[in-house]
Amino acid sequence: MSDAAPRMMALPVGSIGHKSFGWWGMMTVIMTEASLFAYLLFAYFYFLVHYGHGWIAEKPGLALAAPNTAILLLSSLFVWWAESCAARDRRGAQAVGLAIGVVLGVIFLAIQILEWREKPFTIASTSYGSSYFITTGFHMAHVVVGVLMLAAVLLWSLLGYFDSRRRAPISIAAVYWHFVDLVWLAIFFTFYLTPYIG
Amino acid sequence: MRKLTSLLCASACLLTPGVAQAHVALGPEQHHTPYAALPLLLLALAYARGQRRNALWPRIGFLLGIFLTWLATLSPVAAFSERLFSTHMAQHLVLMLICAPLLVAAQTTKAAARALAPALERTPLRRLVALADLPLTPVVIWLAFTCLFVIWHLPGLYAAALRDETVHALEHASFFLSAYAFWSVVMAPQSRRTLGYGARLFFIVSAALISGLPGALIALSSRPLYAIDPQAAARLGLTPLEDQQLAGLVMWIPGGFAYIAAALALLLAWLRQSESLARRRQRGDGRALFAVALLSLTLAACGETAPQIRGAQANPVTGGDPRKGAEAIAAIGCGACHTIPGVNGAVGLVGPPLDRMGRRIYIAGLLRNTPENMEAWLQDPQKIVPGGVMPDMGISAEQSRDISAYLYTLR
Repeated sequence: MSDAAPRMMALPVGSIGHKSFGWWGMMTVIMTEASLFAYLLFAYFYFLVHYGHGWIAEKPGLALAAPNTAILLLSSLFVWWAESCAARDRRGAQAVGLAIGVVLGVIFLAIQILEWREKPFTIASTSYGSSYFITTGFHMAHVVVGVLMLAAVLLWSLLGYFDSRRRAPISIAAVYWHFVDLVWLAIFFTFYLTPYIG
Repeated sequence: MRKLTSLLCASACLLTPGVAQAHVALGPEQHHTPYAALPLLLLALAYARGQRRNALWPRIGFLLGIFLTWLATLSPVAAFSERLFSTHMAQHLVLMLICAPLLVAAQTTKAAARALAPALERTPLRRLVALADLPLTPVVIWLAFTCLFVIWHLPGLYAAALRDETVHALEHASFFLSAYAFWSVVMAPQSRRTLGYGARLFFIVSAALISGLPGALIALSSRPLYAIDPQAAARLGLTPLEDQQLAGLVMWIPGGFAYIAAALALLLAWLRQSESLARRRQRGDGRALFAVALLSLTLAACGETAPQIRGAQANPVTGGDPRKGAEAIAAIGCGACHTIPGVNGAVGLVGPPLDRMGRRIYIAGLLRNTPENMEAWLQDPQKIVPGGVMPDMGISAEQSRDISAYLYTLR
């Protein structure tokens, strides 16, 4: 880490670049949350290998989930763009990218709630229902946290708290957001695609 | 990473047909055509041409890797193994966890790229290689390796691979290439651009955890998930479910051992590295100490600051006894006018203080501080500074030797 210490005249206030303590803290959060989702998905597959495809109460439709996946991926792209703009001191683009990320995250949540309403089963009716609602519910909770993080970072961006050197919070929120997207890809693949692949 | 990408592409051009064609060549009669091993042979030739270092071990590793690849994909053993689910799983593991790291350790891509570079320069393949300059960061390679491993074990895709030889070839090629990239990250020489040992350990252990999950599922399943040839299983006295459980266990336990072995090897390398670093640092410390000693010796020789040495020289010159000198100082009463450390009552403020006399440059403001001058001054100060404050105290030559011996101990 010493080689990363920048040569500055004045003492820095807060972290510089993105490899701050907060960044490493986020990495450990991601590790624990990744383990959580790995075991939730393992539980799904465990039920599946025992009960077979008849266990799936209703093959999930892709009409809402596929566009929703695209929306989440797009939001990741915008957040990534915002982060790279922050590194180049383009404040306006940075705020716009974060704002679009927040909006797309909220749209994802809305569509996800729509999809939940359409399900003929509940969290308590079958083990499939439990698995589905717990896994997607945990993911939605993570999306909510991610949206709040992005909103906070957006607010701070608008207040001019960041520049090209001091932008660790943006990177921390962004890496969490990418992680949430990646988890969604795994959930989407598991719940929505594997029933069709077999 | 750019370099790794082009190397991977070069190796893919060579190796993939070798691994993949094995299955295309395996028709319904389950025996391969003679030319199926040709790509492997070509790779061996390219390696022989490109391998520059005269090291023995990489060559042995390469030959072993090629032989095991042949054994796992082309040999009669392979043809037999694919009828049983468990042996088929073992075949995949050999390909991913033994052949790939062996070929990585033998620096196959480097050698092959060196042999092929002139040819590649002249063909449109060069553009292909440039096009395929993907951002192959360790994260991407990790994701590709674990995702491919998990996805191909979905029963539907596995069945598709068994039905269609092209899909099967794709399966094996993707297994092999992702494994090759995976082990390239793990075994890359340490540098600023590659992962450190800690990150590599995490890279391996996390992949091992994920790769264990499908194996656990397959082993724990209570019903057959895969289309298993019941006759082939029965020939070994296994039911299809037992064959499947065995396959899951093979994937879970021996597969896990390969990762653990790699992690332990990395730990060992890490410990060695830190040990040699520590040793170097220690040697550096020793060198620094030596330098300080040398410096002080040099300073001493210059006569600037080395009272110890001066004192040592003073004694033979004065030939006096410091203890007697101290007694003489007390008896004569020098302390009435001088402040002299170590002598009782010597706190006079008339003359200059004599503390650190061994380090002072001048005596009486005009004589260089040498033993001879000191003795002369002590015996006959009025001759040197007539009318000065320092009176003649009737000090004998012997007393002056003892007194100056004492004064030179004050540093």
